[in-house]
Amino acid sequence: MKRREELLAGSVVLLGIVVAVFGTLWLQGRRFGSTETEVHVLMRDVGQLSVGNAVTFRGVPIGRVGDIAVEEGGTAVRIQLLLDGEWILEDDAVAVIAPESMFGDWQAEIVTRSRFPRYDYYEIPAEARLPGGVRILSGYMLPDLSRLTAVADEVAQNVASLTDRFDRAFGQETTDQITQAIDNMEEFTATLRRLADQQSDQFLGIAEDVQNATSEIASVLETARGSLERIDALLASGDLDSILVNTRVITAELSGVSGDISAASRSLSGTLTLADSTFLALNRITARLESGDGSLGRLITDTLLASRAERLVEELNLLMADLRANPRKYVRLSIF
Amino acid sequence: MPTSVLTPVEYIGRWSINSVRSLGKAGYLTTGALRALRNVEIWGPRLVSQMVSVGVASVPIALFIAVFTGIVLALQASYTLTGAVPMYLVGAMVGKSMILELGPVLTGLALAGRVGASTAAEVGTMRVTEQIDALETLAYDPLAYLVVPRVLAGVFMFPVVIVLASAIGILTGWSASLTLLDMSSAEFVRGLRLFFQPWDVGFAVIKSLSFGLIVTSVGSFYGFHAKGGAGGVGVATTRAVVVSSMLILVLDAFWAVVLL
Amino acid sequence: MSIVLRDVYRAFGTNQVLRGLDLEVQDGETLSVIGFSGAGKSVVLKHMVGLIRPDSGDVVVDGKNVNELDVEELNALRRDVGYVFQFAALFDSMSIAENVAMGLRRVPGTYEEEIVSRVRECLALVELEGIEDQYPSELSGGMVKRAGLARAIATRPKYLLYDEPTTGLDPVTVTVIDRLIVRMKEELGVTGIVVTHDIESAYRISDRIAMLHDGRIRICGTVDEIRGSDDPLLRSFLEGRPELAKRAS
Ligand SMILES: Nc1ncnc2c1ncn2[C@@H]1O[C@H](COP(=O)(O)OP(=O)(O)OP(=O)(O)O)[C@@H](O)[C@H]1O
Ligand SMILES: [Mg+2]
Repeated sequence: MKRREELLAGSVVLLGIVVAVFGTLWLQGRRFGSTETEVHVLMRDVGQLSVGNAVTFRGVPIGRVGDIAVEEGGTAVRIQLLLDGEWILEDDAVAVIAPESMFGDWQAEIVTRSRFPRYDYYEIPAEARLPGGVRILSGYMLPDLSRLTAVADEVAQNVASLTDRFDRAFGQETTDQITQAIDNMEEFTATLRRLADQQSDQFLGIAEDVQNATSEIASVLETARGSLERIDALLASGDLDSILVNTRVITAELSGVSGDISAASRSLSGTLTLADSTFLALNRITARLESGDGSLGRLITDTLLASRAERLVEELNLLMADLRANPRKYVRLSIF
Repeated sequence: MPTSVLTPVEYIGRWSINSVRSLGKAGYLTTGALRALRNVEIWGPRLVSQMVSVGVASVPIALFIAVFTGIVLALQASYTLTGAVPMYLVGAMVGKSMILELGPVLTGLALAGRVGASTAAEVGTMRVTEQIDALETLAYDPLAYLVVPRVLAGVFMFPVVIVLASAIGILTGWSASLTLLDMSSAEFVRGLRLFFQPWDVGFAVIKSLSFGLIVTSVGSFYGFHAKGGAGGVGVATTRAVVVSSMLILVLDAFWAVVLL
Repeated sequence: MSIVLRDVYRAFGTNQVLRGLDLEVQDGETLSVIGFSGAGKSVVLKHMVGLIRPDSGDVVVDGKNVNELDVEELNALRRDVGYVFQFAALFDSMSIAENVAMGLRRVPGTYEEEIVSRVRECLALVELEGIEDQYPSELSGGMVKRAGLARAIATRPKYLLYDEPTTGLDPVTVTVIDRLIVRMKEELGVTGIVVTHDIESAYRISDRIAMLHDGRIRICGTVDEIRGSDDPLLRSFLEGRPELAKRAS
């Protein structure tokens, strides 16, 4: 009787433990009994990547995230990837962390640096800890929509302080023009934010909008680009007077363009247009500023600010391109 | 008192006094039970049979509930997720809600009925028939003999039962998706794994532990303080089930706030 | 050593059951406690093993003040006291043998064989041979009562508290139990307190008899003193005449 009870209780408890342990491992996607390759990734920020997320290679799931920990000193994050089976990665292998689907789960994709050369990968410091036999890859995180908004905010701020300096170099009129560009930027930021807020219920509409908008914008952009080309030329010539005159004309043209588009297609189409024009303009301007060409560049003593602005604009451009190509990736539906 | 009908103020006063008294009794029982933990020689031999009656005997009812919960979850998830949302989310919904919420809470409520009632009835009967007094005169600490093994069995076995129930719920949800929803196994498993985090299981286990603790100790408490005859045992049993069910829901919310 | 209750007060809610009760039980004697139903006889017995604590007053058993003992000391004391419950209070989830063995299992260093033989011995003493494996619900009221007695004497306690040990038994069994009580006293030197309504049986087994009334000991004396007393309440009780009791109070 007693023995029977003990046997019964013991087997149920064992069964429970076995189910809990193996169930957990199985749900984590761990394969039993096979070999694993451990790879570490160092990067600045992991976004919403979490332990157990998938690791992919050319789109195929090949493992999972085993551990995430802040590096000693706090300057980077170390991610442990556990790949099923034996893997020998290419020499210029890097990891890109990005949302996997529109439902908020992230993944780590192993790619080669040559495939996405423009990403700002974390440079592994020489003194980074190297556990025996483990490869350390550089990592880069594709920001999501909320990050986009933050970056746009930062750009707007930087442009504001740039303008402050322009103010000292030029008269009232030019400043007004640039202020207008900043206003556009703010409007862009606000729209983005609204977009982020409404993303869950408007997802389908937005996705469609993006499709329409991108084709529409393509043609309009040509016009915009023509105008911007002229700013470019002006900055190169470094002739202050002609800048003053022509900037007014061009900016008027530009705002006309963006006004057209905003009116034509609401929300995202407008946003993208606004962004495109603004960014292209800023891009060129800051490129000039940084290279020190023309008198404007020399007027800016703090080149750091300019280069920072440029980096941000570059990042934004990348993001906008990505957003246009994969809108689903940025629009997150949080169910749970 | 001029009338036998209580004025609201008197009613509140009586209610408060009774509440404080109950709290005091509960605290007394808790410290007594903690002290009784030392008497391993008393509760040790009783633990296994309590594990059987609290845990093993509860497996069938728990699995029964889980089977149907799993099926219903899968069907309702697919019903909710029509349109743009991919079907693999059925797997995610079944897995996540089974592990985090429905497995622990539904099983906990069922066991509050089964285990809580039987604990209160058994202990209460022993109280009103002086069997608890008899234990004391035979130099057994009744808390060590009756309460400790039951509570330990609850704390230990609830998680086991709940893990099994959740697993069965997921399996039936899975097979319902295959047979009734035209989903593929790969799809279901993808959804199942998509949002799974190892911590979910820890969360469920912590929840289950606390449910086991609550159900058995509330049952013991009301049984221990049962008064009168069969009627008193009946009252104790009813209270034990009602209070432990309510506490399970409160605890559920509590853990959600604290741990998620 | 003995059992002494000094100025004990105990109330249940508004029901003041004991009102300054004083009682002294000599070592090795058998004292019968009589009194009307509801007088508090069971309550008095329960005070002696700490099942009920007095509101005020002292309960000293075996030289120890029950109120001041911690759990361990109280358990140690309880090993020396056997308690026969008025309604037996057998553990209904256990067989009779397991019931009787319960107390023995708490005595350190007892072997299983000893327990088995001791259980058989005690059941034989109350004339219940061969029912070891039956459950309380399968026994008659009188058998349950005797099984309760067997459980109380199993550990060979120094003190035995019998709460109506013979109520509801047939006359032959009553005599058997009475003789057992006397044997416990004479052979083992047990100090016994017997709550009983059976006055004839009380005369047979007791050294002294005490009557509990109004929360106090109204009369306490040897069997002869009690027989010869002309206290109207006692006479009412002994002769079963309610009209005497009414006049007395
Ligand atoms: N646990 C308790 N809670 C409340 N009241 C109690 C309790 N135990 C006893 N009483 C009360 O104390 C009084 C005395 O009870 P007790 O059982 O001692 O009577 P008794 O003398 O043994 O009577 P009887 O001869 O019928 O057994 C009764 O009025 C009873 O209601
Ligand atoms: Mg009584």
